[in-house]
Amino acid sequence: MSLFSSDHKAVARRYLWSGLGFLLLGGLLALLIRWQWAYPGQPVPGLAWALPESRGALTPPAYTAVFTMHGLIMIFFAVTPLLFGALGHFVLPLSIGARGLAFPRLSVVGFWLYALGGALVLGSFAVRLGPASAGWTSYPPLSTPAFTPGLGQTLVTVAVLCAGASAFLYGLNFIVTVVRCRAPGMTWGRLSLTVWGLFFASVLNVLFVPVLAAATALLLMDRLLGTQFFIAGAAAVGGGGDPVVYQHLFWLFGHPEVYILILPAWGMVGDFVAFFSRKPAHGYRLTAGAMGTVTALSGLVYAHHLFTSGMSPLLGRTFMVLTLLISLPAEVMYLNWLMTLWRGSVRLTSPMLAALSTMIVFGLGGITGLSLGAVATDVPLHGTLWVVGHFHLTMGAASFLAVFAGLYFWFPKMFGRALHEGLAKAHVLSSAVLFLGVFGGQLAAGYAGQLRRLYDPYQYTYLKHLLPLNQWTSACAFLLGAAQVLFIVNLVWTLARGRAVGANPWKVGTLEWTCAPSPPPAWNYDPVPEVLRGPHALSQPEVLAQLGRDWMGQAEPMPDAAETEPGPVDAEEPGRVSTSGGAA
Amino acid sequence: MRAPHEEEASREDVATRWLGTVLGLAAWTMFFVSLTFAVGWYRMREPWPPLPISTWLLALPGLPLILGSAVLARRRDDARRVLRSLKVALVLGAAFVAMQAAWTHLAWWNHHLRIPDDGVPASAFYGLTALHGLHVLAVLAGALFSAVRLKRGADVRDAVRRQALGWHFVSVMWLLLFLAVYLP
Amino acid sequence: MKVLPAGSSSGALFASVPPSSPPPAHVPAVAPGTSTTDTPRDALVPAVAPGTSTTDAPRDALVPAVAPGTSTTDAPRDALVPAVAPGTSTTDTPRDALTLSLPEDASTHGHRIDELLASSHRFDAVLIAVALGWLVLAVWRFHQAKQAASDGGTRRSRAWVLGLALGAFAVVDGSLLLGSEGYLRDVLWNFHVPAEDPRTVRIEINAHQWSWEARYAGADGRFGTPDDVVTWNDLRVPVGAPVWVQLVSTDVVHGFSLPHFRVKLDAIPGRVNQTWFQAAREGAWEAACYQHCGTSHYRMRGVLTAMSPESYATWLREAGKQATQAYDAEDLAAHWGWEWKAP
Repeated sequence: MSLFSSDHKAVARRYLWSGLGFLLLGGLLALLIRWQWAYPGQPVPGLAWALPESRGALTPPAYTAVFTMHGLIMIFFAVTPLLFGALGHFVLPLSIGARGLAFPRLSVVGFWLYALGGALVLGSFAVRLGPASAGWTSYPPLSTPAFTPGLGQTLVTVAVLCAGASAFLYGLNFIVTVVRCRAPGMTWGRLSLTVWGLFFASVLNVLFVPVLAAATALLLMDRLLGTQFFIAGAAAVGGGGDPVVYQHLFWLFGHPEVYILILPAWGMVGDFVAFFSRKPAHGYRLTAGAMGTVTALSGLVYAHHLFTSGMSPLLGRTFMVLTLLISLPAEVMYLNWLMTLWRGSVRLTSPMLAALSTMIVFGLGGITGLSLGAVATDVPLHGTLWVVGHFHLTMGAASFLAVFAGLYFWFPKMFGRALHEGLAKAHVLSSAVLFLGVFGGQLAAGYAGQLRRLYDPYQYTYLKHLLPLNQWTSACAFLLGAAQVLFIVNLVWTLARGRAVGANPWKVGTLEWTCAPSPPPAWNYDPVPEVLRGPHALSQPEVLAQLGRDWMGQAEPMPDAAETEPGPVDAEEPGRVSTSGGAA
Repeated sequence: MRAPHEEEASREDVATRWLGTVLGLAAWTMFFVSLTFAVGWYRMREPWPPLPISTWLLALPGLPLILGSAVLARRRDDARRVLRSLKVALVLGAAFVAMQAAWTHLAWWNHHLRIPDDGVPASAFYGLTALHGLHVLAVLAGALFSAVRLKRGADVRDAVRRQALGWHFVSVMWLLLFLAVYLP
Repeated sequence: MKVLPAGSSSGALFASVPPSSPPPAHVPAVAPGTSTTDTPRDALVPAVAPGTSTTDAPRDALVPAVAPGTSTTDAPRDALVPAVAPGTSTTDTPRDALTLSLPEDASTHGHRIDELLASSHRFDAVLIAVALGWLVLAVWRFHQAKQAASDGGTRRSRAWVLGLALGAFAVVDGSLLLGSEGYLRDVLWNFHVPAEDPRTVRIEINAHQWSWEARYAGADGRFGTPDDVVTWNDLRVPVGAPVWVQLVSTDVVHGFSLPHFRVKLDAIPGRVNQTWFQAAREGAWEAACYQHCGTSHYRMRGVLTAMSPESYATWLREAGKQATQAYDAEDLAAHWGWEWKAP
C-alpha cells in the first residue's frame, strides 16, 4: 500500500494513525496543564530533558505554549482528522454504496496538506522561542510579532492554514460524493444518520473554513509583511486596525467548528442507538432535520463568544436569542435518541457503550452551556474553567467517545479483525467516568471563579481554596491518560493476532456490512448494490418471520419479493412510511 | 481482477467534477466575503482616504478580466479554436497581472503609499490585491496547463470549461475587491 | 497618505461608545478649552471634612502614582480602610476545597445574576435528571429484551418529542432569556443609573501587560488634568455609589474582571469599553485578567478596595494634591487619560 494510494480506505488509515498520534501528543500536553494546576511550578517527572533550565518544571512561557498547542493540536490535528479523515473517509463512500470518493486524488492532496501542517506543528517545538503561545484562538495583537516574536507562532499559523485547506478539500469531496455517488436506490431518506452528520458538517466545513483562511491570511500578513489589519494601540502604525475584526471572523468560523466536531458524533450516536436497540431510529427524519437546523443556525450564534467585548446591546440581544434557539433542535434530537432506546432490545456492545457515554457527556456539556448563552449569566462564567469544562464535555469528551464508538464499530470492517470486546468496554467505561471527573471538576472550579489559562491560579486569594479540587481533577486526568493504555494494548494485540471476523459481526443492515467483505476490496462493491430500504431495518416482523433474524440488509431483497411485488422493489407501502422512519 | 474505478472515469466524472468546481468556488466566495467584511468594517469606522492611483486606472484591469471571461465562456469543440481562446485568455490574464503589478509598484515607489506607515488602507490595498492576484495566478496556471496538454493532443474541453468557471470567479471577486478597496 | 486618527470605537453597529475623540492610548488627550465637566463630584468632598482634620492629611509616605505594586497613598488614619496593597490578602471569607459556589458577592446588583444562575441550574438539574434517568431506565428495562418494537415512532410519539422539546425549551431557555434581559435592561446595559447619579465615581482604566493602571479625575472632575490620581493595581471605590469604568488597553487584549462584583469586560486596544457596578460593603477584593495576554497573564492581579464614602473622598483629595505636586508635563507616557465619553 503506497503512501500515495488514493483508495479512500487507505487515506482513512493514514488519517487514523496520524490522528491517533496527535491525539496522544495533545493528551500529553493536557496532562502537563493538569500537572501545573495541581502542583504549580514543581518539576514534571520525566520532563527534565525538555526543560533543563527549570529541571522539568513548566515555566510561564512554556506553559502558555503548552495550552496553546494542546488546543490547536486537538482541534485541527487530532479530533477533526479522526472524525472526518479516518472515520469519514472510510465510512462515507461505503455507507452510500459508492466505489470511492468523488475526487480520490483530491483526498490524497488533502491528506498531504494535513501532513505538512502536522510536520510544521511538530517542527515548531524545535525552533527558538518555541511553538505558538498566543492561545488556540491566536487573538491579535498578542499573536502579532510585537508580542509573540519567533518563528514558532508563524509556523503554527501556516500549519492551521494547511489543516484548514485539507478540511475544505475533504468537506467538498464528501458533499460531492454524497450528492453524486450514491448507489442506485440510496435516496436521501435512506442515508445513515452518520452520513447525514458528516454531510452537514462538510457543508459547514466548506462554508466556514474559508472564513478562517481569510482571518489567518490577514493575520499572517500582519506577522510577516507588516500590514496593520489587527494591530491597534501602542504597537499600531498609521492609525492601526482593529483586533475585534479578527475576533468576529475567527468565531464566525470557530463556532461552526464546534458543530463540525460534534455533528458526525451525533450522527453516529443516532445510528448506534438504533443498531444496538435493534429497532429503527425514532423520528429519523426529525433527527436528520434537527441536525440540519443546527447546521443552518450554527453560523448565526457565534457572537456569544464576544458578549464581554463591548458589543452593541442590539447585537448582544440578537445573538443571545439565536444562541438559546439552537438548543431546541438539539433537544429534539436528544429526545429521539432516548425514544429509540425505549421499547428496543438494548445490547451493550462496546460501540453502544461509547455511544451512550457520548450521549451522557454531550447532554451534560450541552446543558452547562445554556448559562453561557445568556448575557447576564455569561458574565460570572465567561473566561472561567466553566467554559472550559463545558466545551470539553461537548467537543472534547463527546467527540472523543464518538470517535471511539466509530472506531470500535468499524474496526472489524477496516482491518478484518475484531478488537477485544472486554478491553474495549473497559476503555470506554473508564474513559467516560474519568471524563466526567475531569470536566466536572473543571466546571466546579470555574463556577467558583477559576479563570482559564492561569499559570498559577493560586496567585489569587479567592482561588486558593481550589487547590485540592484541582488536584483531584488532575488525578482523574492522569488516570484518564493511563486508561488509554487499554486501547493501545487492544489495538496492538488485535492487529497482531486478533480474531478474524466475518462480513457482518454486528448484525446490522447497512451496505458496508451486508454487501462487502471485511475489509472491503479496493473498489468496495462489485456489483454496486441496489438499495431497497433505509439503514435501520431492524426487528421487522416480516423479516423475523421469513428469515428468522432481526436485521435486513439495505440492499437485500425479501425472499418472496419477486412473488408478491410485481414492480421494481423500491415501491414503499405508504402505510409504513409514516411510522417506520429509518426502516423504510 | 478489474478495477471498476478505471472504467467509470468517463461521462459520470465530467458532471461530478463540474459540480465539485461549482460548489467549491461558491464556498470559497466566503474567503472574499470575509475579506470584504473586514475592509467594510474599517471603512465604516473612519473615512477611507483616496488611493493615490486614480480610480479609472484601478478599474482598467477589470477589462482584460471581463474580456477573458467572455472569451472562455464560449464553448468550442474545435481543438485549434480552444487553443486560440486559451492563448487569448492567457495574454489577457498576463495583462491583468501586469497592470495590477504596475499600480502597486507606482503606489509604493512614486506615491509612497507604504506598509506599515499608512495603516489599514495601505494594508488593504496591497494585501487584498495580492491575495486576489494569487487566485488569478492559480487560474492562469490552470489555463496554461490545459494549453500545454492540448498541444500534446489531450482532450481538454471539460477542463477548460471548469477553468472558465474559475476565471468568472476571479472576475467577480475582482469586482468585490474593487468595490471594497479601490472605490473611494 | 495620511490616515485620520482612529475613532476609538468602530462602526456604529458594534460600538459601545459613540466615536467622538482620539484614542486614549499614548495620545495626550487633554483638551484645553473644552469644559464638558461631568456632574459635580465636588458634592462629595465637603461631606468629608468633618471628622478628618486637614492638617494631618499630607504625608511623606505618598508615592507619586507610578511605582507598580505599591498603593499610591496611605489611607487616612482614622478611616476604616484596610491598608491594602496589591499582594496582600483580601477580605474573602476563607473557604474549604468543597465550597462550590460563585465567589462571594460584594456588589449591589450581583445577586440578580446569582439568583438567575441558581434558578437556571435548578432547571438544568431537572433536565439532567430526566435525560439520565430515562437513559438508565431504558437501558436497564430493555436490556436484551426479547422483542423490540419495529417502528421508528408513531405520529403521536414524534409529536410528543416535539412537544417535550418545545416545552423544555420554552421553560428553561425562556426563563433564562427573560431573566437575563431584565438584568441587561436594569443594570448591565443601563448607563442611565451611573450617568444620573451625582455620587457616581468615574474611573478610567488602562490595561497593560501586566497591570491595571487606573485614573481618577481628581477634584476638578475632569480627566487628563494635573490633579488626576493614577494608581497601579489598586482600585478604590466608595461603598453605595455607582462606579463607572471606561476601559482601554495599550498593548494586547486583556479582560478586566471583578469576580466578586460580577463584572467582566474586555480591554481592547483601539476602543473604549465601559461598564458599571456598585459596591455593597467595605472590604478588599481582587481584580483579575481573564483573557490570555502573554506570559505573565496570571500575575495581572489588582486589588479593589471598597471604602466608606468619607474615607474615599479623603483619599481622593489627598492623592489629588500629591498628584498635582508630582505632575510632570514632560512625561508624555503618563498622560494617557481621555475626556470622559458620554454614554
